[in-house]
Amino acid sequence: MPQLDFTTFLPQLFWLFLSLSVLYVVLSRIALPRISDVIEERKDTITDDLDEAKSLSLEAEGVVEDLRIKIEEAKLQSQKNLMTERQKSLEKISLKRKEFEDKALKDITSSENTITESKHSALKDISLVAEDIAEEMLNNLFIKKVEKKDLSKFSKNLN
Amino acid sequence: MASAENLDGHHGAGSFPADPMHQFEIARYVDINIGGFDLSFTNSSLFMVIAVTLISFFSIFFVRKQALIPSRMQSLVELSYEFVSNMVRQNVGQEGKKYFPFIFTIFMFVLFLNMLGMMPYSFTVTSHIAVTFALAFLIFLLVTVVGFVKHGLGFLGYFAPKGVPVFMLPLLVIIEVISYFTRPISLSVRLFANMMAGHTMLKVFSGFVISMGIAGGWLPLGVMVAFTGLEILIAFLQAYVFTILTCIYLNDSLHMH
Repeated sequence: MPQLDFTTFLPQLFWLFLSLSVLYVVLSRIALPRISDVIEERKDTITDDLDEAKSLSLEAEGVVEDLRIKIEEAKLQSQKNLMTERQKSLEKISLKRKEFEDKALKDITSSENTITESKHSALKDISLVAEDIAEEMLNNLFIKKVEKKDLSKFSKNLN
Repeated sequence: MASAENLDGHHGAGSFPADPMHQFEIARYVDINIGGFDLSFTNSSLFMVIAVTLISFFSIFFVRKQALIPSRMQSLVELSYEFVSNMVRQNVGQEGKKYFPFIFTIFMFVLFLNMLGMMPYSFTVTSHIAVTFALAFLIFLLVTVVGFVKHGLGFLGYFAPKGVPVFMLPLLVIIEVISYFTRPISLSVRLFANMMAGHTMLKVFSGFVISMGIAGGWLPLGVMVAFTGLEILIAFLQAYVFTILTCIYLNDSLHMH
């Protein structure tokens, strides 16, 4: 078994410690700090990017919230506007209506007055004509002359 | 000695076509002797140097742009960084950060040595108990030192768990001490045995492919393909297990029980 050949031990051990020491120095002084620098830097970059993304997303959320509030406000405003306009037009409508109603009432009253007047005058005319006709008829029928004032007394009683 | 015979490429009559242990031979490429110590550059040294070079190249070259959006290769390096980093964080906690470079070094070193060993004609450094035990013992020493630095002599309380009846204490202390001191053995043998067994098995099956020839060699070849996939998984898994146990030992030292 070559492993138990003690004459080979010393050269093996010497070169083992030599190469291990060289490797340790090279790795710990040169290679590992550089590797850890790269990894640290990458970690930092990723953390920074994530932070930035988080802040941007927060900002976007704020903007969306603002927008929501504005939309809400606009809705309320438009509702208010709608109410006032509606109130205004209702008032206008009722005013116009009242005006119209007043006018119509006036017209009706004046027409009624005219009608009553016409009726009165017509009645008066009728009674006058009737008196005349009656006088004429009676005068033609009777010998005795009928007095007009008796007839008017009579027609008054008829009325 | 059978291995010496194999070094020359000669096989005795009736021996296996390829000695499965031959792949573990240490071959000296450059003889170096300093002050009477044999510090030769061997195939084992070569693969350690290759591993160190590859890891350094990957972890520096592919991250050179330090791109915010990583390329595939940069992503791969970052992935291994995060993988070990998570392992340390979950098993040791915030205090483990200080030891992360060490644990990362251990993980990448063992992983690359295991993976390089999966290449044909390569050498598996971690299949040698000397290497794995040295690694495990280094970790054992470090973890013990960390424990004493953090808790002072109070670290000895680790061997006497709280809330245990007094009459049970001697037994428990013995068990704790034994389990503590066998850590480097279990840690190193696990890695070494896994790597050696896997590679030996692959070699045995590849020997079958040759000896059974074109007529019957297909079955062991198929088995070998499947085992290669399994071995790659094991190469990763053992690196992972080795590292996570290191984390657990470190956690014990930092936070006691």
